[in-house]
Amino acid sequence: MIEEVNLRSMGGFGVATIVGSGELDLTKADDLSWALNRAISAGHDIEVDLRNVTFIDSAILSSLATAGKTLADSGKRMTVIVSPDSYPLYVLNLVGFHCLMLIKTDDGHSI
Amino acid sequence: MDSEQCILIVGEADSEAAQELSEAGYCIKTLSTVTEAADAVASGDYHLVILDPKALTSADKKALTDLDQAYTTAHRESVRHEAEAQSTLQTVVNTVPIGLMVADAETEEITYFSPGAEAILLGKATGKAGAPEPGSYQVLHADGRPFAPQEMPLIRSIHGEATSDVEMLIRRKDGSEVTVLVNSAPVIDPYGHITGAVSSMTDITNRKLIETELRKSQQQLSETRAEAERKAAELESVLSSIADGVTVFDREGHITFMNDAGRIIIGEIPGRSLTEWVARYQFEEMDGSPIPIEKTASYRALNGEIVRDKRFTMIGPTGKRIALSVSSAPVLDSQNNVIGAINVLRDISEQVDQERVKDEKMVRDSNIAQMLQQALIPKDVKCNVPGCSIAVRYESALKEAEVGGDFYDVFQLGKNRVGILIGDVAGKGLLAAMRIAAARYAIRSYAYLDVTPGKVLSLANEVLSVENGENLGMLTAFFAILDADSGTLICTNGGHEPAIRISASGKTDTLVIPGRALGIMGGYEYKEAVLELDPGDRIVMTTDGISEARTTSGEFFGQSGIAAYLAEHATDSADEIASGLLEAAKAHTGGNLQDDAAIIVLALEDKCREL
Repeated sequence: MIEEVNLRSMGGFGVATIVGSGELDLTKADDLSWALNRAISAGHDIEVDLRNVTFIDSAILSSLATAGKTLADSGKRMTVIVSPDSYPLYVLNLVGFHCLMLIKTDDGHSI
Repeated sequence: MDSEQCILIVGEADSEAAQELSEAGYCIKTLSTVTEAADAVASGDYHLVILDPKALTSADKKALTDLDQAYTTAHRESVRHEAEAQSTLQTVVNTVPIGLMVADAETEEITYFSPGAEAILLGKATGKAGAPEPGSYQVLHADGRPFAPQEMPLIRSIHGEATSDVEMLIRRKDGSEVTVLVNSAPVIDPYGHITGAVSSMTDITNRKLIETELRKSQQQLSETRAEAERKAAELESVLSSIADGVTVFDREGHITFMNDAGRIIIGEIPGRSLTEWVARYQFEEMDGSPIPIEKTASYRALNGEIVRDKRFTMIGPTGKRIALSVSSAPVLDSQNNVIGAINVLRDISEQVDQERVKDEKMVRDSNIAQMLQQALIPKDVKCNVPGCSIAVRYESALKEAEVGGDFYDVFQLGKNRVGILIGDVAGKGLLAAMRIAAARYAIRSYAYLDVTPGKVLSLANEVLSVENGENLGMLTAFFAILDADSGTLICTNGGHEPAIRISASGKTDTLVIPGRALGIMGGYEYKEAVLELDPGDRIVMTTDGISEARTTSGEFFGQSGIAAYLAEHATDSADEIASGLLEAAKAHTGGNLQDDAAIIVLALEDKCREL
């Protein structure tokens, strides 16, 4: 499930928080892309909270990569928060998305 | 003639008695015979007859005797009749639920008070008429004002007025109230003098309550009817303004309302009832099978069923076909009895056409994608390097599923070199197939340049990172080149699942080569690993459909599951390992894989050592 939680102010800049939970696969990719594009259109940095996500597939990765590249091109930043030892962390490391986004665990460590 | 003041004298007119009476002012008339006197009395004109015994003849005496007897008899009869009448009247007065009061004109005192009146007033009224004694009862107007004495009907009638239907509110000594209707009239003696007054009162409390309730009910009914008419007008206005066709049926299926949109959708009013409608039009399911009347949404709603978004085709008398969506619901009364049905029709012909075009396009795309996939993912591959064998497997998550993004390729690069590629593009369907084609041929093309696998992926990544459409054409790929001359396998990885090497002894090594997924950003140099192959080695490459196979509780098969299987089947052939691993992953899920899966197994035979 994708939930667009809120927009909050952080250091004077708007940050859109998008929270996912459960298994995120192709059937949720459009929802995620919609939420990401909405935040991008609003000119926000984006924080994607995947701490309660147990699975992501290539369609979700593609949505994250597309948004991350768009944000990077416009000088904005995407941060993805994951749980240590989680499957999303494994996959994000595997595909090398560090070039597009900041990946950090919920204990604050950047990966 | 005033009979009271006239006196008959039978005999001498100048008798002493006649003389005295005349002096007293009475009119004296003399008669010569008793017979004449009897006639005069019978006429009623005279009350007193003075007989002079000296004037009586024997016939007169007999006549007098007869007269006396007749009078006595008549008098007794009269008394009896009067007693009977009095008794009857009293019975009536005691029986009828009417209160009677009689007052004396001179004293205005109440002289008679019937049991009916006592029951109404909860006690006897005594004293002056029009002035109830304190603590007995109060006489009020309907608005609560007290009646003044001169307003009281008995008093008014004592003064000669007859009153009719005077409504009074009686507040009784126990605090209860009754409403009475009073009529009164003066009592006039035979001489025209008012000697008193009589009044009757009738308790109309219940009647008044009923009248009040009736008035309230009528008012409520009137208000309810007005409200219902207003709401009906509003509803009709709303129904007339909406774009959907609305039809209302009564309990017998007669059409009682159809809005303009309904007439426009159908082209006319289809009949006076559902029966006529069904008789003139044909109803078909979307697959063309006929719909009998008892299966129509309106009929089902009339039988209490709610039908939502039922799609069907209606064919009119002219043969015109309209695709419709109908929702029907019963109309219920306050006791939940079905008193009609309402259905809402929507012309979905255009939508159905669009869906048909879309479905046809999907089928066409799917066919193209399947053809592409069949072309891109060969069922069998050939390895012309002596002592080496390669087996491949590909499995869709479901037979009818869209074409997935997993792919592989095995191609010969000269005499003793073989390119081995396995990958996964994001998405499914035709787009995924096109991305597979782009990735596969880009990698294959650069591989023919006789460059290392890392360089091949770097070059392919430059091409695949050119944006094309909304989403990046991201893909992961593991690419290796088997060089039989050097006995090595040079591997590189673009964000893909690591391959696993298993030796003949059952020792497994996961080939971790960090590398970014392709197609997201150019300018990246892919790292390589060079494996010195030993006879009996097996190199197993998979897509995430194997490692991500999971139980219903979410437990992944994972790299550990793959390694565990391989450790137990280290000496199996490439083909056996490919099949066995696929089945092991499926067994882990308890049935079907959740995603597409591809497997490549490279097996070196013992004699490969000589290479």
